[in-house]
Amino acid sequence: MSEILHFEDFIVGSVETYGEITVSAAEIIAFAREYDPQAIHIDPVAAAESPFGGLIASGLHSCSMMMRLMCDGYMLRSASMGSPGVDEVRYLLPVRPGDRLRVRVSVLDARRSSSRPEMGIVSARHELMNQDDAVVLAMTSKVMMGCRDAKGAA
Amino acid sequence: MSGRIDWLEDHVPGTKVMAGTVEFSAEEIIGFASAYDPQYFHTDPVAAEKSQFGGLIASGWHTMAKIMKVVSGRAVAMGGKGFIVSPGFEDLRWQRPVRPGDVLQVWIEVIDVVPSASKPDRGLVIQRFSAVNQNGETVCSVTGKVFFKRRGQP
Repeated sequence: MSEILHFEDFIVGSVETYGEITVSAAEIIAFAREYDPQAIHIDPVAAAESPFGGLIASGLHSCSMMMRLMCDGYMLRSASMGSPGVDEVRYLLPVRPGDRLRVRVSVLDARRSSSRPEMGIVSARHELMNQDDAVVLAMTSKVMMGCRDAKGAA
Repeated sequence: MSGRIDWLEDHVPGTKVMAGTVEFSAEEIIGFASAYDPQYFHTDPVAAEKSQFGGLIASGWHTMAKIMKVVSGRAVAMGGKGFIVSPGFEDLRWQRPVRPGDVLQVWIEVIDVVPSASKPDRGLVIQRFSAVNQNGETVCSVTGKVFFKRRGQP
Protein backbone atom coordinates (compact mmCIF):
# COMPACT_ATOMS: atom_id res chain seq x y z
CA MET A 1 0.00 0.00 0.00
CA SER A 2 1.73 3.17 -1.15
CA GLU A 3 -1.46 5.23 -1.04
CA ILE A 4 -1.11 8.35 1.13
CA LEU A 5 -3.73 8.57 3.88
CA HIS A 6 -5.79 11.76 3.78
CA PHE A 7 -8.48 13.27 5.97
CA GLU A 8 -11.14 11.34 4.05
CA ASP A 9 -9.54 8.02 5.06
CA PHE A 10 -10.05 8.55 8.80
CA ILE A 11 -13.48 7.05 9.43
CA VAL A 12 -15.16 7.74 12.77
CA GLY A 13 -15.41 4.47 14.67
CA SER A 14 -12.54 2.74 12.88
CA VAL A 15 -9.93 0.95 15.02
CA GLU A 16 -6.44 -0.11 13.91
CA THR A 17 -3.49 -1.60 15.83
CA TYR A 18 0.16 -1.01 14.87
CA GLY A 19 3.53 -2.19 16.15
CA GLU A 20 5.43 -3.64 17.99
CA ILE A 21 8.59 -2.37 19.69
CA THR A 22 10.49 -3.86 22.62
CA VAL A 23 11.56 -1.62 25.51
CA SER A 24 15.10 -1.98 26.86
CA ALA A 25 16.47 -1.00 30.28
CA ALA A 26 19.31 0.87 28.56
CA GLU A 27 16.86 3.05 26.61
CA ILE A 28 14.69 3.71 29.69
CA ILE A 29 17.75 4.89 31.60
CA ALA A 30 19.22 6.93 28.71
CA PHE A 31 15.95 8.79 28.04
CA ALA A 32 15.36 9.51 31.72
CA ARG A 33 18.92 10.66 32.41
CA GLU A 34 18.39 13.32 29.76
CA TYR A 35 14.78 14.32 30.39
CA ASP A 36 13.31 12.90 33.63
CA PRO A 37 16.02 11.93 36.15
CA GLN A 38 13.85 10.40 38.88
CA ALA A 39 15.37 7.38 40.68
CA ILE A 40 12.56 5.04 39.53
CA HIS A 41 13.63 5.71 35.90
CA ILE A 42 17.43 5.74 36.17
CA ASP A 43 18.51 3.67 39.21
CA PRO A 44 17.60 -0.06 39.05
CA VAL A 45 18.64 -0.63 42.68
CA ALA A 46 16.60 2.26 44.12
CA ALA A 47 13.71 1.38 41.78
CA ALA A 48 13.70 -2.21 43.12
CA GLU A 49 13.06 -0.84 46.61
CA SER A 50 10.29 1.52 45.41
CA PRO A 51 6.58 0.61 45.32
CA PHE A 52 7.07 -0.20 41.61
CA GLY A 53 9.50 -3.01 42.45
CA GLY A 54 11.85 -2.18 39.60
CA LEU A 55 12.83 0.20 36.85
CA ILE A 56 9.92 1.83 34.96
CA ALA A 57 9.96 4.09 31.90
CA SER A 58 9.40 7.83 32.24
CA GLY A 59 5.86 8.70 31.18
CA LEU A 60 7.28 11.06 28.56
CA HIS A 61 9.41 8.21 27.24
CA SER A 62 6.26 6.09 26.88
CA CYS A 63 4.56 8.98 25.05
CA SER A 64 7.60 9.26 22.76
CA MET A 65 7.67 5.53 22.04
CA MET A 66 3.95 5.67 21.24
CA MET A 67 4.62 8.54 18.84
CA ARG A 68 7.18 6.35 17.07
CA LEU A 69 4.60 3.56 16.77
CA MET A 70 2.09 6.10 15.41
CA CYS A 71 4.64 7.40 12.88
CA ASP A 72 5.58 3.94 11.62
CA GLY A 73 1.96 2.76 11.74
CA TYR A 74 0.22 5.52 9.79
CA MET A 75 1.57 9.04 10.28
CA LEU A 76 4.54 8.81 7.89
CA ARG A 77 2.27 7.65 5.05
CA SER A 78 -0.34 10.31 5.75
CA ALA A 79 -0.95 13.93 4.77
CA SER A 80 -0.41 14.99 8.42
CA MET A 81 0.10 18.73 8.89
CA GLY A 82 1.05 18.49 12.56
CA SER A 83 -0.90 18.53 15.80
CA PRO A 84 -2.34 21.43 17.79
CA GLY A 85 -2.12 19.39 20.98
CA VAL A 86 -3.27 16.63 23.28
CA ASP A 87 -6.47 16.68 25.31
CA GLU A 88 -5.35 14.14 27.89
CA VAL A 89 -2.74 11.49 28.66
CA ARG A 90 -3.32 8.94 31.41
CA TYR A 91 -0.53 6.74 32.73
CA LEU A 92 -2.40 3.57 33.66
CA LEU A 93 0.30 0.92 34.22
CA PRO A 94 4.11 0.94 34.46
CA VAL A 95 6.19 0.26 31.35
CA ARG A 96 9.10 -2.04 32.21
CA PRO A 97 12.23 -3.36 30.46
CA GLY A 98 11.33 -6.17 28.07
CA ASP A 99 7.77 -4.97 27.52
CA ARG A 100 6.56 -5.28 23.91
CA LEU A 101 4.36 -2.33 22.97
CA ARG A 102 1.75 -1.72 20.28
CA VAL A 103 -0.62 1.19 19.69
CA ARG A 104 -4.38 0.91 19.12
CA VAL A 105 -5.89 3.90 17.34
CA SER A 106 -9.64 4.64 17.51
CA VAL A 107 -10.96 7.53 15.42
CA LEU A 108 -13.36 9.55 17.61
CA ASP A 109 -14.19 12.49 15.37
CA ALA A 110 -13.28 13.93 11.97
CA ARG A 111 -14.27 17.47 11.04
CA ARG A 112 -13.42 19.37 7.91
CA SER A 113 -12.00 22.83 8.68
CA SER A 114 -14.41 25.62 7.69
CA SER A 115 -11.65 28.23 7.49
CA ARG A 116 -9.04 26.03 5.76
CA PRO A 117 -10.74 23.76 3.19
CA GLU A 118 -7.45 21.98 2.43
CA MET A 119 -7.48 20.23 5.83
CA GLY A 120 -9.55 18.64 8.54
CA ILE A 121 -9.08 17.85 12.23
CA VAL A 122 -9.01 14.18 13.24
CA SER A 123 -9.52 13.36 16.94
CA ALA A 124 -8.35 9.93 18.03
CA ARG A 125 -7.85 7.86 21.14
CA HIS A 126 -4.45 6.19 21.21
CA GLU A 127 -3.90 3.28 23.58
CA LEU A 128 -0.41 1.95 24.22
CA MET A 129 -0.74 -1.78 24.93
CA ASN A 130 1.77 -4.26 26.31
CA GLN A 131 2.34 -7.95 25.55
CA ASP A 132 -0.54 -8.89 27.89
CA ASP A 133 -2.96 -6.65 25.92
CA ALA A 134 -3.14 -4.35 28.95
CA VAL A 135 -3.48 -0.63 28.18
CA VAL A 136 -0.51 1.10 29.84
CA LEU A 137 -1.16 4.62 28.53
CA ALA A 138 -4.22 6.27 26.95
CA MET A 139 -4.10 9.53 25.00
CA THR A 140 -6.80 11.61 23.32
CA SER A 141 -5.32 13.99 20.76
CA LYS A 142 -5.94 15.87 17.53
CA VAL A 143 -4.08 15.99 14.24
CA MET A 144 -4.48 18.31 11.25
CA MET A 145 -4.80 16.13 8.18
CA GLY A 146 -4.66 17.27 4.56
CA CYS A 147 -7.70 16.52 2.38
CA ARG A 148 -7.52 14.49 -0.82
CA ASP A 149 -10.19 16.71 -2.28
CA ALA A 150 -8.84 20.09 -1.18
CA LYS A 151 -11.57 22.16 -2.81
CA GLY A 152 -14.96 20.65 -2.09
CA ALA A 153 -16.48 20.05 1.31
CA ALA A 154 -16.72 16.38 2.26
CA MET B 1 11.45 29.05 54.07
CA SER B 2 13.73 26.07 53.61
CA GLY B 3 13.32 26.18 49.84
CA ARG B 4 12.67 22.45 49.74
CA ILE B 5 9.70 20.85 48.01
CA ASP B 6 9.19 17.47 49.63
CA TRP B 7 5.54 17.14 50.58
CA LEU B 8 2.06 17.99 49.37
CA GLU B 9 1.95 20.98 51.74
CA ASP B 10 5.10 22.46 50.15
CA HIS B 11 3.11 23.29 47.00
CA VAL B 12 1.31 26.62 47.30
CA PRO B 13 -1.44 27.45 44.78
CA GLY B 14 -0.75 30.71 42.94
CA THR B 15 3.02 30.34 43.15
CA LYS B 16 4.69 30.89 39.77
CA VAL B 17 8.42 30.53 39.10
CA MET B 18 10.75 30.57 36.12
CA ALA B 19 12.39 27.22 36.75
CA GLY B 20 15.08 27.16 34.07
CA THR B 21 15.89 27.51 30.39
CA VAL B 22 16.44 25.00 27.61
CA GLU B 23 18.08 25.51 24.22
CA PHE B 24 17.40 23.64 20.99
CA SER B 25 20.09 22.82 18.44
CA ALA B 26 19.38 21.43 14.98
CA GLU B 27 21.42 18.34 15.88
CA GLU B 28 19.35 17.61 18.97
CA ILE B 29 16.04 18.28 17.16
CA ILE B 30 17.02 15.81 14.43
CA GLY B 31 18.40 13.29 16.95
CA PHE B 32 15.24 13.18 19.06
CA ALA B 33 12.96 13.07 16.04
CA SER B 34 14.98 10.33 14.34
CA ALA B 35 14.34 8.13 17.38
CA TYR B 36 10.74 9.02 18.21
CA ASP B 37 9.02 11.26 15.63
CA PRO B 38 10.65 10.94 12.19
CA GLN B 39 8.28 13.24 10.27
CA TYR B 40 10.32 15.06 7.63
CA PHE B 41 9.78 18.56 9.07
CA HIS B 42 11.58 17.32 12.23
CA THR B 43 14.43 15.41 10.54
CA ASP B 44 15.20 16.92 7.11
CA PRO B 45 16.16 20.64 7.11
CA VAL B 46 15.99 20.92 3.30
CA ALA B 47 12.61 19.25 2.87
CA ALA B 48 11.30 21.16 5.93
CA GLU B 49 11.83 24.46 4.11
CA LYS B 50 9.07 23.48 1.69
CA SER B 51 6.66 22.47 4.48
CA GLN B 52 4.05 24.81 5.93
CA PHE B 53 6.53 25.50 8.75
CA GLY B 54 9.17 26.98 6.42
CA GLY B 55 12.04 25.15 8.09
CA LEU B 56 13.08 22.54 10.62
CA ILE B 57 10.96 22.47 13.79
CA ALA B 58 11.26 20.39 16.96
CA SER B 59 8.93 17.46 17.58
CA GLY B 60 6.22 18.49 20.02
CA TRP B 61 7.27 15.53 22.16
CA HIS B 62 10.85 16.85 22.18
CA THR B 63 9.60 20.23 23.43
CA MET B 64 7.54 18.43 26.06
CA ALA B 65 10.54 16.32 27.11
CA LYS B 66 12.73 19.42 27.47
CA ILE B 67 10.05 21.07 29.64
CA MET B 68 10.00 17.90 31.74
CA LYS B 69 13.80 18.03 31.98
CA VAL B 70 13.51 21.35 33.82
CA VAL B 71 10.46 20.34 35.88
CA SER B 72 11.82 16.93 36.88
CA GLY B 73 15.36 18.18 37.44
CA ARG B 74 14.05 20.92 39.75
CA ALA B 75 11.87 18.43 41.63
CA VAL B 76 14.88 16.20 42.26
CA ALA B 77 17.12 19.12 43.24
CA MET B 78 14.60 20.59 45.69
CA GLY B 79 13.76 17.38 47.52
CA GLY B 80 10.87 15.29 46.30
CA LYS B 81 10.81 12.92 49.31
CA GLY B 82 7.02 12.68 49.11
CA PHE B 83 6.84 12.24 45.33
CA ILE B 84 4.66 9.24 44.47
CA VAL B 85 3.77 9.18 40.77
CA SER B 86 2.13 11.18 37.99
CA PRO B 87 -1.25 9.91 36.78
CA GLY B 88 -0.85 11.89 33.55
CA PHE B 89 -1.37 15.34 32.08
CA GLU B 90 -4.06 17.39 30.33
CA ASP B 91 -4.54 20.19 27.83
CA LEU B 92 -1.12 19.98 26.15
CA ARG B 93 -0.95 22.74 23.54
CA TRP B 94 1.71 23.14 20.90
CA GLN B 95 1.07 26.81 20.22
CA ARG B 96 4.05 27.81 18.07
CA PRO B 97 6.90 26.00 16.31
CA VAL B 98 10.22 25.58 18.13
CA ARG B 99 13.20 26.11 15.84
CA PRO B 100 16.98 25.55 16.03
CA GLY B 101 18.60 28.22 18.22
CA ASP B 102 15.44 28.89 20.23
CA VAL B 103 15.92 29.32 23.97
CA LEU B 104 12.85 28.59 26.06
CA GLN B 105 12.11 29.73 29.60
CA VAL B 106 10.16 27.07 31.50
CA TRP B 107 7.59 28.45 33.94
CA ILE B 108 5.83 26.44 36.63
CA GLU B 109 2.59 27.67 38.18
CA VAL B 110 0.88 25.77 41.00
CA ILE B 111 -2.80 25.73 40.06
CA ASP B 112 -4.31 23.60 42.80
CA VAL B 113 -3.48 21.17 45.62
CA VAL B 114 -6.20 18.58 46.19
CA PRO B 115 -6.07 16.22 49.21
CA SER B 116 -7.17 12.71 48.24
CA ALA B 117 -10.65 11.78 49.46
CA SER B 118 -9.91 8.05 49.46
CA LYS B 119 -6.26 8.00 50.59
CA PRO B 120 -5.62 10.40 53.50
CA ASP B 121 -1.82 10.06 53.26
CA ARG B 122 -1.60 11.89 49.91
CA GLY B 123 -2.96 14.46 47.49
CA LEU B 124 -2.75 15.68 43.92
CA VAL B 125 -0.67 18.68 42.83
CA ILE B 126 -1.94 20.34 39.64
CA GLN B 127 0.55 22.61 37.87
CA ARG B 128 0.63 24.49 34.58
CA PHE B 129 3.96 24.34 32.77
CA SER B 130 4.65 26.92 30.06
CA ALA B 131 7.58 27.35 27.69
CA VAL B 132 8.25 30.91 26.46
CA ASN B 133 10.71 31.66 23.67
CA GLN B 134 13.26 34.47 23.35
CA ASN B 135 10.59 36.68 21.73
CA GLY B 136 8.25 36.33 24.68
CA GLU B 137 5.90 33.98 22.83
CA THR B 138 4.43 30.96 24.61
CA VAL B 139 5.26 27.96 22.42
CA CYS B 140 3.94 25.11 24.54
CA SER B 141 1.91 24.68 27.70
CA VAL B 142 0.51 21.72 29.60
CA THR B 143 -1.28 20.92 32.86
CA GLY B 144 0.71 18.31 34.78
CA LYS B 145 -0.58 16.23 37.67
CA VAL B 146 1.47 14.49 40.35
CA PHE B 147 0.62 12.70 43.59
CA PHE B 148 2.58 13.74 46.70
CA LYS B 149 2.48 12.35 50.22
CA ARG B 150 1.39 14.66 53.01
CA ARG B 151 4.03 15.87 55.43
CA GLY B 152 4.97 13.30 58.04
CA GLN B 153 3.92 10.26 55.99
CA PRO B 154 6.47 7.44 55.67
